[in-house]
Amino acid sequence: MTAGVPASARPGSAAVRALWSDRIGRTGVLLLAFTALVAIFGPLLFPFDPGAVGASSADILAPPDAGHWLGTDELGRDVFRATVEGARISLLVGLTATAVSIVIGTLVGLAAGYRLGVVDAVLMRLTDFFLVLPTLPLTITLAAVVGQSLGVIILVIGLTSWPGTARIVRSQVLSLRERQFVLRVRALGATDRRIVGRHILPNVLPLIFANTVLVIAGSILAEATLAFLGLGDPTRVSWGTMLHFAFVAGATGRGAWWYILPPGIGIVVVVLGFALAGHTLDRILNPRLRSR
Amino acid sequence: MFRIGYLARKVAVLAATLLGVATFNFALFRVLPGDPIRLMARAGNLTPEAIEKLRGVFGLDEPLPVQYLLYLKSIVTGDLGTSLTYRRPVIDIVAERMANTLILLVAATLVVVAIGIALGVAAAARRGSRRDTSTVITSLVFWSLPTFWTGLILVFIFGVWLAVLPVSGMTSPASRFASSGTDQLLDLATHLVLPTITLALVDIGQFILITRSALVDVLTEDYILTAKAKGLSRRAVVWRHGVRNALLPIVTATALYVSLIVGGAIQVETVFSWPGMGRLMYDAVLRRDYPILEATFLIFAVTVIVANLLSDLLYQVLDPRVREA
Amino acid sequence: MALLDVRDLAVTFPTTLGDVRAVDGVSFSLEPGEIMGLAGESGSGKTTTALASPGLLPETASVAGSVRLGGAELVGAAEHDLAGVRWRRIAVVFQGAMNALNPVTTVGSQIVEPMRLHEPGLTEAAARARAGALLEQVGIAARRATEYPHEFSGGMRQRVMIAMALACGPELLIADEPVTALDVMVQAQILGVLRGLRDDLGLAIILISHDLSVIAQTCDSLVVMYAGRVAEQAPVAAAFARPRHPYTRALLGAFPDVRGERRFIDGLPGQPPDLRGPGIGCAFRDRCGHAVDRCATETPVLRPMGPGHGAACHLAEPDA
Repeated sequence: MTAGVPASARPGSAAVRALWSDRIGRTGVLLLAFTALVAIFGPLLFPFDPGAVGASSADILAPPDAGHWLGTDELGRDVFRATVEGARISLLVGLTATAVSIVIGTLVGLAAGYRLGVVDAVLMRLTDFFLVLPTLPLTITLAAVVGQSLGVIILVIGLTSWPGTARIVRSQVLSLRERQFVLRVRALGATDRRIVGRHILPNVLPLIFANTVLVIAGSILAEATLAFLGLGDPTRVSWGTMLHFAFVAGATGRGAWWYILPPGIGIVVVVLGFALAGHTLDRILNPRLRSR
Repeated sequence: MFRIGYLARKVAVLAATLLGVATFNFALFRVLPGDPIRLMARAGNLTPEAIEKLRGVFGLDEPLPVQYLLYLKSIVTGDLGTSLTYRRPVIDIVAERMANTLILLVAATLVVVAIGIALGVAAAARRGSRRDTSTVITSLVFWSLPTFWTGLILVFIFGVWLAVLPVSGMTSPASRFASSGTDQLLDLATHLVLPTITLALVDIGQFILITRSALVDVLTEDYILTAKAKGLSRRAVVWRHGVRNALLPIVTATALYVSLIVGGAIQVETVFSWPGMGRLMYDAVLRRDYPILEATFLIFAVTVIVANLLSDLLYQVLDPRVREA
Repeated sequence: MALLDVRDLAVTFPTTLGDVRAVDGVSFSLEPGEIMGLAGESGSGKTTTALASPGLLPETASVAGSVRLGGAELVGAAEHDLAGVRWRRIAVVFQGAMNALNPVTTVGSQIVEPMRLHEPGLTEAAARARAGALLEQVGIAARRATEYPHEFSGGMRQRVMIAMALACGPELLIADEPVTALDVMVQAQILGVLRGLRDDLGLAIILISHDLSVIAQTCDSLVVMYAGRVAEQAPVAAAFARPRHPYTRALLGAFPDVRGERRFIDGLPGQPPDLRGPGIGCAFRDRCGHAVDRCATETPVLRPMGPGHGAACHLAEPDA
């Protein structure tokens, strides 16, 4: 692991430049930009009215036409607008859950890697324990018991994905704490908090950044899966809940492809965007793979 | 091959982890909801007297530590409670379904490992080439597919639109009266195709990427050049020396893989109405059948933990450097 | 006839910033049973030169010139033919045996592997017996063939590499920095083993090293490379007694003690030149101290200085 010299001034712009230079990374960024545009401006241009149910049975699960570009759902509502609306929740949950996960994971990793000793042993046992629990069964169980609000979903996803980050952070801290610049600063009498905050954390951030991108991808998938299985917030439209209602209404059997395709494509586009970007970032930060 | 001390330590860690899972389960289902009887009361309509009686039956009037020990005892004796929806012992219901899920998991794993290793090796061996880049992109796309959605799409294409493959259940009702065993097997096989492909698709992406990355690292090692200097064919160098060493990080990644595939199985069984543990869990969520939910989570967790232990042992077999420790 | 005849060997690597001339017109020849030292600093092209003969350079390298092994041309040869030459006729002991051995297979299997590849009729038992004998030959107990590389110390691993290299009875052994990173005692032992192989088996050896003391102890002849070109070549005694090229002289001068420094560059100001571009003139001129105008405009060629002694310098004078 070669994190190099103490933090440079503008790691953010360097990362973006690096992403853009690689074709895979560039595709990822474009996909994400597109999704962001849809999520921000879509509902303003094409607002979705959950109450705009169909008038007669002919309007239910109707195929696309001039009035409804992507047909209607099981209540006769416009699928296109619902899809546009769903982008917001899917992204919101994904990003907030990731924030929870990254914060916990980083704190645990920093504490364990820097303090070592008992703190490290205990935290690592905890991390290993959570790592070994299968993710989906865990999130399902937690959500089913605790409740079905957005907040719960966010917490549940965040609480199950932090161990990976913790491990990465810890191993990086372990290698950093013995480096020259840390020993020097410690000899000068710097407090632990200063050392960790000013010297170690900035050098861990690039790794966390690459990891975060992949965690976001996983969180969005997790929200969609939980929602599909019936554990999402039924009062909010997300791509996952759309597919849940589609499934429950038998949309597949009835051949309503216009209902099934759009939300799924939305999920794939966002997740793929993050996955492509994350893959490129991972490669950039792992120099050994780069030169050969 | 393994020292007794080493094995003993592994078993001890396993026991501790299992205990941890049981405790976690206990905390989640008995302590957290506050009053599990209330949860059950939500499902069925119970009178206040019935609730009190149930409390006694489940030992919920005992202090918490006692409840905990009773809970552990019940798990060990195989008493996983009674299902609220089926009104039968949970252990019976679960036992019926386990084999079905196992069939699916094994089939998908075979597909994933065979194709994943083949494509991952091909990509790594030609690193930087067009084929390599397209393999990586394809793998990332597969990785991004939500398993359940892939299932829905496949159901639609092959089950509804083209109508060539069955998309529901494990067998057709008629097959029970089929004339021969091979007919029954064939029936099972056709039902197995789509669920297996769906389950495998997402994990193949992950597996290819892991294999490729592991092999790319290994191929930069010096002993690869030694192998080439001996006059070995390119294939022998890549497989006998490269892949053999790349197996180590691949096996290490098995932990993540098992967790993924278990999660995928839940989604696939739901979409394809496959009568396994995953579908059982989904139904239990819908109907808030907490005893079943509790049991299925426990079994999934135990499965993953045991799989981790096995992969750990496999790693020991594969890497002589670690064996003495 | 010479065992190995290298004529105008040139190896170029394409990079994003231009083609790099790693080897730029190198010629030398090696007799059977001769131990030749190939010396130079890192980046001088010595390893690339040596590995060009069995075709072990990366696929991106373009190789020009001629390398003849017992008369057969190796440059541009079909991969199939090269595979037949590898290990059977030319074997390699790589730099840093720490990683040059496969960590997950036994040492014995790795020695047996090339045997069974090049001699299909050989039985497993016979091969294992021969592997055991080879280990004994380099001073390792035969029963250790069932052990793994990590169970051997650095020096022992190097011996294993040598035993492995001998598996198919090659005529030429390329030893790339065989004793770097080993302590002096072990170094002497390994070098003794190599000399013994030449004495007993008539093996020819190309010994690559940046350490002139190693070469002085072991080699019959010396080829000094700088920036991809041959600066000087001579029988070892002549090279050390009457070095003709300023670079060689600087290296020898930079050596205070046989047991001491191993750093080559001590006291030599400047950097090796950029290996891109046409490379007209002497590559060493910027660090030479004796350079004249001609050194920049005319590329020096190897000129005879004495029996078997050549130097590529405009200012070098032959022995009187």
